[in-house]
Amino acid sequence: MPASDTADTAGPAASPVKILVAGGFGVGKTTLVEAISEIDPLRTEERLTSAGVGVDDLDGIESKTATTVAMDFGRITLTDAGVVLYLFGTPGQERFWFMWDDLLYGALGAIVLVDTRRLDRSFPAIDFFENRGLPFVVGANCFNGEQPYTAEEIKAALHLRDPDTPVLLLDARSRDDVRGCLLSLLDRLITQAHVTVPV
Amino acid sequence: MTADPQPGRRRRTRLYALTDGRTAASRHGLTMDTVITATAGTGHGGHGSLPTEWQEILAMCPSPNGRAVAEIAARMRMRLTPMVVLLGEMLERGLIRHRPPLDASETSNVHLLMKIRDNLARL
Repeated sequence: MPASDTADTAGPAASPVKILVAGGFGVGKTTLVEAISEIDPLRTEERLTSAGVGVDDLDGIESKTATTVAMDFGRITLTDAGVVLYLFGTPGQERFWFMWDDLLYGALGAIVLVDTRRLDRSFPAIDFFENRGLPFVVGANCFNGEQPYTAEEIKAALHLRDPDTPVLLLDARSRDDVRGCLLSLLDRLITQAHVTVPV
Repeated sequence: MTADPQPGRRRRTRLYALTDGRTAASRHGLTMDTVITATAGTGHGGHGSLPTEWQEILAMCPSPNGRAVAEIAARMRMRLTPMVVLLGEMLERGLIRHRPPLDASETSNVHLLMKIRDNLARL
């Protein structure tokens, strides 16, 4: 099989890893990706059809439930760590995520970006990651540099299953803020890895 | 059948033309974050007989860094699924190499996570 033969020898230098950026429509996912990415954010699309659509049934294929989901993403090459970190802004139509195993496979963790004026829009993403056991941190985007709530108040309002889930106030346009959010996620992953695999 | 080379007025090439008639899902496990590099010698116009799209892909994935499947799809203005099928064909012909994303045992490795954290902190 050429597939397995070509995977190791003289292949790509760095291993890809992925962090998801989730949140409701217009919460600033692409802005966050743009703030830290080494390339201008790119957009990729996938057409997802509802489960159970028969591929042999050529009649009425256009009427089957199908939707196109788009993701904006960027990358950060971490040469010393030997990885290329991809930041994928997940599509707003959270109800389709369960059909998209690629999205979670290999993901380190996630940032859930919330707008405190529309907190309910972040519930599907939080539920999804909690149910799938993907570690995440919450970033409360401060629009116009303002945030009327404290991190504690936001945490309480989100009813997070794990009370240790970090909640950070950030400006998605700020490279420092976004990096701080990623570092917080990494700290959480490191803590959990220590707990899971006792040394 | 090849695409109209004129940028901006490119004709939409039929998927089966790009993938040699193959429409089944790729057997190679190529995910959106799998990184692709051109095999040595393929990225410098040595494959003039290959379809234009293939040559474009080889040219944008030079070793050693290459590009992720999602990035190739975005730059080629193709959706992920047809791009995965096309890349699977190129993989079978030995034109490209791939590196899949790290699996769960690796992404939960404390030492790797600490290296990533340190590298991020120095950005």
